[in-house]
Amino acid sequence: MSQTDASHSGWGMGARVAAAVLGGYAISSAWVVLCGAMSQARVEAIVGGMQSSWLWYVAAVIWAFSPASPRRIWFVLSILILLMLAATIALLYLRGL
Amino acid sequence: MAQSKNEFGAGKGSFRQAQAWLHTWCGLWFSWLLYAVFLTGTLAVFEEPITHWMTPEHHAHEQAQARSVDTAQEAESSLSRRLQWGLAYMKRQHPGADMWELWPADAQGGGDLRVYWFDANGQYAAARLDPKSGNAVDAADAPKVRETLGGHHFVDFHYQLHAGQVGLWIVGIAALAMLVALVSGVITHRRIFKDFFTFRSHKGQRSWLDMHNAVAVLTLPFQFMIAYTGIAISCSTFMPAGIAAYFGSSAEAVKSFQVALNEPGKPQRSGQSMPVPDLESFVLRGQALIGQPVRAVVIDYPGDAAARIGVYGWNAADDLNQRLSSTSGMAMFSAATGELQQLRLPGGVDGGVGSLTQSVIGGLHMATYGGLPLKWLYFICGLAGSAMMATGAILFMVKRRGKHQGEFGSSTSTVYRMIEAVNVAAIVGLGIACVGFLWANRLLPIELSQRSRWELMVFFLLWILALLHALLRSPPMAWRDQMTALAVLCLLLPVLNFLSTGDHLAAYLLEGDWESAGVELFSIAVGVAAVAALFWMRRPKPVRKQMPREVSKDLSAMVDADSAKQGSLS
Repeated sequence: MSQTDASHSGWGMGARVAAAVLGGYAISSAWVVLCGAMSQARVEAIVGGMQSSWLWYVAAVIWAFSPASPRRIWFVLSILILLMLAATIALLYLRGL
Repeated sequence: MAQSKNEFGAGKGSFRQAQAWLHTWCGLWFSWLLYAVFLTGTLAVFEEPITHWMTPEHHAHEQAQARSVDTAQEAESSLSRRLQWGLAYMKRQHPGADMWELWPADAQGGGDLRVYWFDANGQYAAARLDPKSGNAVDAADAPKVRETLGGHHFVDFHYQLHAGQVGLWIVGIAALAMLVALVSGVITHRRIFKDFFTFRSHKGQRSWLDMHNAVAVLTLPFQFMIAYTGIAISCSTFMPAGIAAYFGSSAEAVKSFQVALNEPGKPQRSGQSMPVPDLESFVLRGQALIGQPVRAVVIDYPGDAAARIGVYGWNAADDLNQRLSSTSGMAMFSAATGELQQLRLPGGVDGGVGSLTQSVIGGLHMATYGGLPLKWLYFICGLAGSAMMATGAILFMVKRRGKHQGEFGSSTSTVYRMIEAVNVAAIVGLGIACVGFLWANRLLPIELSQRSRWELMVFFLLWILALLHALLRSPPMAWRDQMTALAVLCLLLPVLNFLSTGDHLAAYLLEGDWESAGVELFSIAVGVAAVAALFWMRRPKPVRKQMPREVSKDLSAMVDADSAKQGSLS
């Protein structure tokens, strides 16, 4: 096994762990923030978001260790997080906060 | 590297193979902590019986009280006297507090009179008043009893490891890892329903796998529920982003979120002073409205014109059995006008759906509903969950005893050796620490200062000793030694109790003290199981067909005296 292969797989492993732990947390957090913008009953919506955010986290971890490439995983996670934040801003803007 | 050959690694091979890898490693690294959380959480189901066993000085007092319950009623004071005494004490001692809380009596109108308030630092503070005179009871006057955490030790350990917020986060991360391990385990497991009915005994690795699958699959819904509700109870700590985005992240902001969630419509202080009126009329109206005897009277902003008086009820036990949400009834009045501001019937919540869901999540996790049968169901499912972690951790090593997989390069055999030692200390060592905690309760002198801390110290010390022992002894001997220690400590617990307090199992059973009897009977059951495990470890080994295995470089490392030795658990 050559050195480059080993370091390459080490990099891939680190990217996966980071996607699972940090990416998963980020997407769950973005989800809670989005939930807060979705309803007039903000407190209720935030609680609902916090209660359901774990689905995102678990799904992100499962997917981060699936055969997809780390690059793809990070790309899709980032897109989803950005979409959630954009939707939050759009909703807040539409409702005039 | 070994992984590349069998296409086994992070994100390698098919989706199922990749999930098997995730299940193995996520499961292994968290199994020890999760096992500890599960075992102590399971014991925490019976927190009260354990506390009862650990405070033997209270037994005589409780029995006397139970016998004289009818006669005592007349000697004790009426509800209105108790309310007056409580209020007078608070006016005298804590006029500036933000909140006063009186617990005038138990559901039958007798028992203790207690008062609580928020002190200058915003902390909850408490005092006990004499129900015959209304004077504060000095803690020093109380009869000398052993100071102990009791069963609450297991409650606290299972969700924050006695380490406050840091511990809460660690347990939260472990619970998330458990959800991941459960999901990846289900994906890995092709024939989940068929394996449900399969158990091949005396087959070494196969038997461990069957056992791991059987306990996990049988109790899978419970395991998902308990891990999820465990996280969700503390979700505003773990996932603060939503609160931070809309309310801010300061302590004030978090408090205002909690108020908006649980107490919408809580007024602000008015700044005008107004003495707290006599409470009895409020209490009588509140009791009639909620249909429960009064448990607590809460006064927000006492001394202010905006003060509110909340009357909370006692839940009856058979009432609770049928409700997932365990809240009691509550009626909230304006202190100034006496007008009813808010009414909550038993089981309801003051907020909306979100807050009701939180209440149900709490009820589901803590088994507040369903009574004793449900507690036993939780207890058994909790033990099955602990067995799932334990068999998983053992399976990891059993798989690798015959077949070195070289996951850790040249240090693989050292790491295997460590994992084996941690397995022993985490699985059997924790049991020793738990029963040792009960031994410490009987053996430490009663007048020892900070006695409850010493009990805790014994718990952790025994656990660390178990780890050191497992690292020094060869694995088969470590399993045997610690299993023997567990058996001895568990089987002799009733004897220790008899020698130290004079109480014994037969007397408990005759008196119908099922709480104490239950603790000792369970201890004996664990002791018997440990003896059975010892016999099973000493049994003659079945002759196994040698699997043809690849001769790799790593195999030479296996001729390490310890890891090559036939493990007693294979």
